[in-house]
Amino acid sequence: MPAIAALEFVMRNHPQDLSPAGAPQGKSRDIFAPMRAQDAGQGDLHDKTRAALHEFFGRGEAFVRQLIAENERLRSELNEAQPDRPARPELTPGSVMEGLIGRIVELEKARAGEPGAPAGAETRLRERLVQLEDENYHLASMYVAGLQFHASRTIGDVLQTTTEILLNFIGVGAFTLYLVDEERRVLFPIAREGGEMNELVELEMDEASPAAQMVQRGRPWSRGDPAYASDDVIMYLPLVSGRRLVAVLRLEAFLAQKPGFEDNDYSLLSMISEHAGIAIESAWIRAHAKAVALQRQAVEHLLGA
Amino acid sequence: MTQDTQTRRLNALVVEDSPPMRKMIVFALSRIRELSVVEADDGVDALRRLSGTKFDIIITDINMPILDGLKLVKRLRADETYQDVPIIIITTEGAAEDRQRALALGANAYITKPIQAPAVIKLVRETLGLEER
Repeated sequence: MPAIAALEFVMRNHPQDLSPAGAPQGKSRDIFAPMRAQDAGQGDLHDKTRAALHEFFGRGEAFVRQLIAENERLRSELNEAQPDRPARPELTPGSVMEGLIGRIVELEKARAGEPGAPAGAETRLRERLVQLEDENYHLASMYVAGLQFHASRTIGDVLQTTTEILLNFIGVGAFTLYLVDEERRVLFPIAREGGEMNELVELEMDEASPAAQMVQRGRPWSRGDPAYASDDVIMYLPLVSGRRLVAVLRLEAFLAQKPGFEDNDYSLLSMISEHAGIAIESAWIRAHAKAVALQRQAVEHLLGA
Repeated sequence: MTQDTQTRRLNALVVEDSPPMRKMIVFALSRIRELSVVEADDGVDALRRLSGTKFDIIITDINMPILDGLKLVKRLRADETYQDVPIIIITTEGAAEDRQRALALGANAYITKPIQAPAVIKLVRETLGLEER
């Protein structure tokens, strides 16, 4: 018998039981009223507080008893309505203790490596260890990928890092990187893996195109966002810097031994979407920046000192 | 595991020109407590490091600039010190020809990209005769 159903029953049929003693219906509960009355100099504070608390907990006890009785009543109604229903094992304090003691013995045997230990315990531990190693390795790959993007100084560095992560970490064997030409509003190809560059053409950024929708979304890709997949495209991945779409990666085919994306791949794709765009923009700014010697005065000025 | 490997740490050399790939292989190998891992950027860097330290296992990429993995395997097998040291090569699934050439030149085993850490750890442990933990 669900407790919520019992509570709803009481609220519907005995609303007075949910109100404080003597409180008129429709008014809010105020168990501290006696204390405030004492502050105003009415009667003895200690006695009144005790009386109020006693009454409050007394009401609570009565309410719980009522819930239990209602639970029993509904259970017997259910048994009458469905006589063939398999009976649930009764949980008594004794049976609960027995179960717990059995489990403790089982775990201690497993820990001590006794021959009588359940075979499943060691298997479960091993599986958990493999799972943790896998998570550990995935976090390391995220760290290394992020580090490489931040260490990229040129657009060539970014392309190399992107290529290595897609090929060696995720297992995408064919892809094309398009950069955005913001003046002409087209995507132009600048790097390709697993195919010929000269086969490629610029992509228009008209309103219906994936790129235009990515510009509108104005944020890095995350799992659940559209992939715009088609026969020869696994997905289009936006590379952004803040809200600015900088480039688009068109993922075309997995390596032969890779059947599809795994859970960990999605966070790497999000990482590429968020960091590669920033790295390309930084490299672009760096390529157009004037080399200036580091000077104490200039640095302090920047820091507002 | 021999008496010798029980008393000292084993030296491994990882030769890979791709920094993220190299870091991930080193990370995977760091799970093997018996190993001490040294990195080399390419074949030439590997030869430099090989001259100063005796390595117990070498894990090398095939495609590298200047001195690639195949030439490195050939050089190592011609060197008396490294005639019997296990060499594991890193290849792509599609590079079957390179893989066969490397094995013919004397490489002991290979792993394919994208690499899986448990597979790398298992292969290195097996190659060095280390007990599984």
